[in-house]
Amino acid sequence: MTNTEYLQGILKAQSLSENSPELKALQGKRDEVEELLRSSFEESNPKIVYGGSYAKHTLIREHYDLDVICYFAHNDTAAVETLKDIYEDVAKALEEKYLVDYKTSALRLKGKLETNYEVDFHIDVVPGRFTDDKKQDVFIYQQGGEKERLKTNLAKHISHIRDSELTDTIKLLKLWKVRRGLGLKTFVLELMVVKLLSEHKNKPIDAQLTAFWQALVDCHGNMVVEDPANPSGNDLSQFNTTSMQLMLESHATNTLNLVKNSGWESIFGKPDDASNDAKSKAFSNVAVLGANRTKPWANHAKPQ
Amino acid sequence: MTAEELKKIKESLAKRYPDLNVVAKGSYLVVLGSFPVSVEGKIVDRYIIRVEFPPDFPKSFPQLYEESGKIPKNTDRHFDRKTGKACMFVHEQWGWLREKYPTIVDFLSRTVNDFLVWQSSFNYHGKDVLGARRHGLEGRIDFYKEIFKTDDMQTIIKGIDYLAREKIKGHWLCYCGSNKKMRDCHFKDILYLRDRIPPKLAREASQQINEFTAKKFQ
Repeated sequence: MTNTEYLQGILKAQSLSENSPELKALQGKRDEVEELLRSSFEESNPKIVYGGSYAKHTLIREHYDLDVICYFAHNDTAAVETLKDIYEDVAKALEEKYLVDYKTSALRLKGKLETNYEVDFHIDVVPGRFTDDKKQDVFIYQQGGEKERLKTNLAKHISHIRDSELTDTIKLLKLWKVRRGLGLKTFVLELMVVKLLSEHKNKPIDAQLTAFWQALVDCHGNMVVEDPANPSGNDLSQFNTTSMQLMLESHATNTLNLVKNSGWESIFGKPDDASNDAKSKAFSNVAVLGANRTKPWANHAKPQ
Repeated sequence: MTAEELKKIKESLAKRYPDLNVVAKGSYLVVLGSFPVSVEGKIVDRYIIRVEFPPDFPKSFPQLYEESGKIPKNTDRHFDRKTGKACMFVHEQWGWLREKYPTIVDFLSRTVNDFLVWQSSFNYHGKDVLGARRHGLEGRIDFYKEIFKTDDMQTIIKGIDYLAREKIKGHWLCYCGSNKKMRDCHFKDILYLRDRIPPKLAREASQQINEFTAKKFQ
């Protein structure tokens, strides 16, 4: 098997087709969220669309989120006044049905019932307000950020990534990021890939990956990435710090060494790892699984 | 912990779990990242985990947190809803587990893996088919039944009492109810158990039993 064939196998295992149960469940949940938002902001009629990796075609099975964008008209005052109001009012509406984690600009939805308590629905709702009637640029609220509002443009973000011809490489690097627990925003990783591999688009995917890691090693903490929708204003300070880049450099060095000495499987495992087929085979043999295992317990009685 | 010690731990972890990072947080060691759940050598699932190892590990046991949001944090799934901590085993069992799996890698590959296999199986089947301990005191008593090798509650209560005491004497009557002195009966057995179950835990169990009994006869 060639490196390209192997990496294509990993991509296939990580793909979520439109008919996959995971994606159908996610879309069902997303419809619920839209219905809740529409009923809560009936007069405002916000624009509610998909964003994030689903729209950018960079979703991976191992760790996926569905961004639901909820943008209000620039002159809408029916429901909300300031950007902070928008953020808080949308959160309040969502809290009727979900546990809501307040992220910098997004609201993360989790289960609120006993049966799904704190289960992550992989849905981020991103509230915002269009800057004008053209409905292209948007201001979103930034909780705890240097600036309280951030100008952005969803369509530009999506096309910058989706049309980069590097979506497969981005998927594999997202997998690398998730597996290594790197605290780097996916959005920043995507921008880095597009920037660093702009001259490598015609190369095979394994060469693109090694070129990316090599570029991280070579930059010695001096790389700067920019948001195409807001080159001077977006807060990418999380990445544009020496310590973050040195951390990435260290992981990139380690990864290149592993590829060289132990091959690609040492980075991405076997293509059928954690697949539904592997689960089906493993979990159907209950007798084998149950033998000699430590049994879970709970240090408190079950609620009546 | 010295930098050299931390480096050694990182190296041993990287060999078995290249996707897990280890960092020192105060006097604790924290292992975090994507954990591959394995059954008979095959990876069947993955979870983002955080495991906090106390400074006196393996004397004290580590705490596991699941951070990928794939498991409901409720009693049925063996998580403390308030703290998010996983309840991987009845606490009294730690004395046996640490003996069998004394290193960080052992703990991850056996105890944590067992717990997450159970969780993945639950997700797959939609119910518990592998078997878990009963909740609270009931599960605890089940464990004591196993180690005392009896279902007789009088024996178990007496046995727990002997585990809870700071010291025991060979001339005391045996907990098993034989009316023999302990030195002529189960003395070795109780000493073996006392090596594994700290008196504090036995006292906790004893108190739970007393509270349960008092409630029952109120």
